[in-house]
Amino acid sequence: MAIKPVVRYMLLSDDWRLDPVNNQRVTIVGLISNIHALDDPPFPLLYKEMCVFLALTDGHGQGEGKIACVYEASGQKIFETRPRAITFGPDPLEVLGVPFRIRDISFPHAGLYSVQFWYEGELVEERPLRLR
Amino acid sequence: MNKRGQNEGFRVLDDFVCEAIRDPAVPQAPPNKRGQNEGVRVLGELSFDIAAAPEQDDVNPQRSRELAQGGDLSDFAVLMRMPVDALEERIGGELVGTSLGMKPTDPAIKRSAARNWWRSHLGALRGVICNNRIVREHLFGPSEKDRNAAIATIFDVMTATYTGIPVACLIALTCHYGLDKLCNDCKETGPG
Repeated sequence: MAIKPVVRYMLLSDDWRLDPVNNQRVTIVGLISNIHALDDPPFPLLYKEMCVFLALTDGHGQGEGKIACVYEASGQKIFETRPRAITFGPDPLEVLGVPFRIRDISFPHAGLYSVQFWYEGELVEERPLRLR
Repeated sequence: MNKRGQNEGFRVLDDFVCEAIRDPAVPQAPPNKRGQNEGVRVLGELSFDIAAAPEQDDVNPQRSRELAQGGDLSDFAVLMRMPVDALEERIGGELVGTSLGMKPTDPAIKRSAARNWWRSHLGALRGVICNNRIVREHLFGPSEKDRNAAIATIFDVMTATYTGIPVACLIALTCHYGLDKLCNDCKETGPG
């Protein structure tokens, strides 16, 4: 069983950027906690792009991580990303930024969703996301 | 004070761009059914010069960053340097503007509105502020607790209680009035 990294931050946002002067400094743009529908009837709703920015630490070796999203009321999986390789450095105290940019998300209903980070087949961390 | 620090940042992997892989049971949303990030309500920043604080251990940094309600001055120290009249003008301007849907220009009207509000809410303010454990420890505890923590706590409870009034200004006005004076009557009653 892989050793799970520790999630220092898991942020849902519209965008994220690197400081052009220092490419290790991250700026998060437009934190997301709620999404509201603009059209009527509102659902299913298409959300064009959402970023999930993770800062991981206490990681060892290499593994695969992905983002998934489930509808809390039913437990139904709504979407997932392809897995991406995550390679940690030799220093377990290192903090490693792992961004995901997810496009064309269909949300079928209003309600509470959970955006989840999975690493090597294990759920590591999740964040709520409300659609209304 | 020339020993500075800098945020190092951290190593960031390349952006990983991918389409959401929709579960087959989830219907595909048509492109014209859009959603928008609502954003989050953000309190004004509470700015303190920590180096000047008498005690640092008890400061809750998260709370200490939240002060001036939207559109208000963001530096509490600036508010504390303002005279009572100026604070009353700010408070009254918001109160009258909120209730009438317009911003009055007469400073006397603004101050009068603020004083009326203060008189009519003094008892409630006392209840909100003076029954708080952290405030009581700051005022009456055996070792005086950090003032910043007490102010930040007051800001938290007042923000949760009052709307339509610039809370940071109200706290500054309360400090001018005197926290100990406000709460002295509650000293013997014990925490609520």
